[in-house]
Amino acid sequence: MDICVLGPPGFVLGFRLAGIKNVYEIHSEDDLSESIRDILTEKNISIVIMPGDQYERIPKYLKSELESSDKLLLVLGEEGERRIREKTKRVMGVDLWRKE
Amino acid sequence: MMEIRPTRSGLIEVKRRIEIAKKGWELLKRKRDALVSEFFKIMEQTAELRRKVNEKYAKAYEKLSLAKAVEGTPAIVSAAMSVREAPEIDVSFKNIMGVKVPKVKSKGKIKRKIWERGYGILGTSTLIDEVSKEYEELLEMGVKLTELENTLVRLLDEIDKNKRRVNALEYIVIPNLERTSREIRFKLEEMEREDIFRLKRFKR
Repeated sequence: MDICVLGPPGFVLGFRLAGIKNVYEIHSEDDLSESIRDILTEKNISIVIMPGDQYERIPKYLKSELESSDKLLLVLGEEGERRIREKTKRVMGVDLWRKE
Repeated sequence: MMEIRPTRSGLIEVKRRIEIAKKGWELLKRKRDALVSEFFKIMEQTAELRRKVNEKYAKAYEKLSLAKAVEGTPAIVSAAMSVREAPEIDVSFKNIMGVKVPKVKSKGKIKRKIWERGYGILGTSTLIDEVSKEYEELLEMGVKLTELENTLVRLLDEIDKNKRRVNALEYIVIPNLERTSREIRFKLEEMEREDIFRLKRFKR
């Protein structure tokens, strides 16, 4: 199973150096939607890594498709932490990630 | 819900349903508590790793920016193209309280020695080596974090579903059944009173 990286050229370059071959360079919003659709149909891809600002720009319907698929998502940056934190707050009713 | 007739057998049927609903409610509450306990076990570890990954990402990106300024993007792209093997992972699923959660293991090495990467040592600089090292470490930590965060997400989804079922039973189903039971009992008592009144009239 493969790891794939999705993001602007500057983001994916570092991961290319680490050996990642499955790379989706995003230059526009259309690229983003098309890449997500490709990733969803690609059986070999298990983990999808992307930067937070890219994750925020995914259209809602594609985001929910991605979240409910068998792909494991890793969102880097503050947005990644916020994604889990807000879900925890909504389900548990309290912000458990808040640092005392 | 099926219409219950206001008869003694109808009352027995409603009482049976109330008992089943209450048992189900107890079981679901216990499942919810167990899921929440599993969630807390993983949460601390995940928060700590997330903090480290975010720091590592910032550091790696800074090093990459420096390397781009010094070496130029074409040199880094060329080195990246020569990297031989892509890291592969193995994703399996384990069961926590009926929830399928991922277990991720890397098949080979993610962190490699300089000569294992594939690009020529002479044609590249130590800056590029450092950037590769940072991103490899980021990737290794990222794989572990992916497993933990996706486990948390799936547990949260199940806790949410479970919570709705517990609340539906507690605030809608059981009170409705109890109300139906009360109505049937009142109806039966009323019918009994009418029968007694009719019998008294005939006696006269």
